[in-house]
Amino acid sequence: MKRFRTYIFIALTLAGLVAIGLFAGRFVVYLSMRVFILSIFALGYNLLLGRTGLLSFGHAAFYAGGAYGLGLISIHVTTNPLAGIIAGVALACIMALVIGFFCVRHTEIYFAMLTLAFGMMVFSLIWNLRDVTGGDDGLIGIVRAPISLGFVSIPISETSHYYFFVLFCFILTVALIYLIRRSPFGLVLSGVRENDLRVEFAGLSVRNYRLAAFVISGAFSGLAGSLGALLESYTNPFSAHWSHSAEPILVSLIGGMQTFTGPIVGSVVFIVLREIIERFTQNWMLWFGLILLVIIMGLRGGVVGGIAQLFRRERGHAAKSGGSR
Amino acid sequence: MNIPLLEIKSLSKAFGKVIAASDVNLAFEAGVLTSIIGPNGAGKSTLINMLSGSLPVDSGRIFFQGADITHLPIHLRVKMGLCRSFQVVNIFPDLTVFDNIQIPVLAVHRRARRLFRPVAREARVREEVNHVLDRVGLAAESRTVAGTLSHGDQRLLEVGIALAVRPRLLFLDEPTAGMNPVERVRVLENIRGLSEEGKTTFVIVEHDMDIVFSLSDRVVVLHHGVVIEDGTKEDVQKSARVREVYLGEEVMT
Repeated sequence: MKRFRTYIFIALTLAGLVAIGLFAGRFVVYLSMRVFILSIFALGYNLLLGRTGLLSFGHAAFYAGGAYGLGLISIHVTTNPLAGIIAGVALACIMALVIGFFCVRHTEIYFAMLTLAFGMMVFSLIWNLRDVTGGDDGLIGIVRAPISLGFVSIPISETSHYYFFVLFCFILTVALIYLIRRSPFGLVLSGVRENDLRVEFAGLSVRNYRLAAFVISGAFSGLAGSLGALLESYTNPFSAHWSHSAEPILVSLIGGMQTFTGPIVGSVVFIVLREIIERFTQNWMLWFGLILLVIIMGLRGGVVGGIAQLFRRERGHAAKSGGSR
Repeated sequence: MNIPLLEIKSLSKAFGKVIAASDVNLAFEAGVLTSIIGPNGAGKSTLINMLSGSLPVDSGRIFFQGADITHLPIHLRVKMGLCRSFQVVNIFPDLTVFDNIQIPVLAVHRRARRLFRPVAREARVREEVNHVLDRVGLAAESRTVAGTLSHGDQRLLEVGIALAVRPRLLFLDEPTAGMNPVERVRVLENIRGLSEEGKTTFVIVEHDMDIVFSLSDRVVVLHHGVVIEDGTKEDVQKSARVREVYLGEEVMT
């Protein structure tokens, strides 16, 4: 019964998302794509934060890796977005592997500071390598050429067409993260979060598992970066800035980092709230900060975690008072 | 001659001026249940920490089944079959009891790296986890979150996790500390049973002399990082030196 309800919920959500692509106005479509991209970023990131218990301040570097990887391929080699995305994700993976190699030797604040340091190095590299990255001008002129798969070619230059491509990547990400969380590997990652010494004494190398989680989350950051660059047809050094690294952290916290859907819900809240608040006031950060404060202090475990808790309590009351459900 | 399961050659360790181990030479044979005793600060925990890989040695060598493991990281020693349990509760508090045991079992079955297959589909792993849970008597609690277990049950779980890696040699650091008599009997029976099966050799650090003398084939007495007596329980009970070290404590009755 519960399973049935979950399927219905998923089907309705999918139908709703497709409907947005078909019928909604350009602005809503654009905003939804930004939600998807941030969700991909945060879902991957939360594998590291919520699952493995590592707080990274450097994931914007991998986002930028994805964006610049795609941009450079698209400008210099081929405009086929698939090639660009593969290059972007691969670049993000390599960066995550190298940076992660040094970072996973440490935990907690040392890990966080190391990732921050590496992130800032990547930012200043992008800023200073003018010949390659365009410096503070960024990469301009990334085109959304059709995705050609040899026999068919799918146009994505129209916003509404690109929407379905981003939606596809989003669903793919959700499915992959869902599988990883339920896999033996996912279980070991929660073990690392709970008690790394004990994992070591189970005969598993904690360092390797941390690194694997780091690279996987980096890969999804790279995917998000590639999609973001295609969406804006442009990318700039601030995609690697540490303030951008804070986004997946905030989003995971808002939604609930111990929940699967938390990062998605958090992304919706983050982007929609920001859009609304920006219409009324210049200093949106002040109001946004206040709302964040309420969510984080008021709802333990984020929006999803908090709501789940409410439901459970309600059901508990019903059971106690002899409710028939 | 057989190669001993674990061999320690002139192992030394000092923390500043405090000597925790001084030229310790020991060999543990397979199937011989050994207890390590000694007054507080004798260096028992330091010895176990060095053997299991938590602490680097100052000098000396450690051989496991003939292979030099002196500088091997913890997880590789565990893979070879050398594991330990801890004096304080050391479990995965937010995971279920089942998952607590499942992590080491996955490691043993080399399934821990599987990325996309649901863990619930690993039938053989599940079977073995249930077997371990039965063994330590926690089968009924398999869906309980480990951190909410009673202290004694958490200790049982701790021993269960250590057993789940199928060690050839298992160090138990005060395995029954904080247990009630029922749990204590269960753990001791487990140790005795497993030891007789011969798959696992136990080395126990204990304070409770009843346990030491009822279980052990061999007793090693440490004092200020030096082995002062090593033999059967009768040898140790008779030893004047041991008596002197434990002076004033009613332990040799």
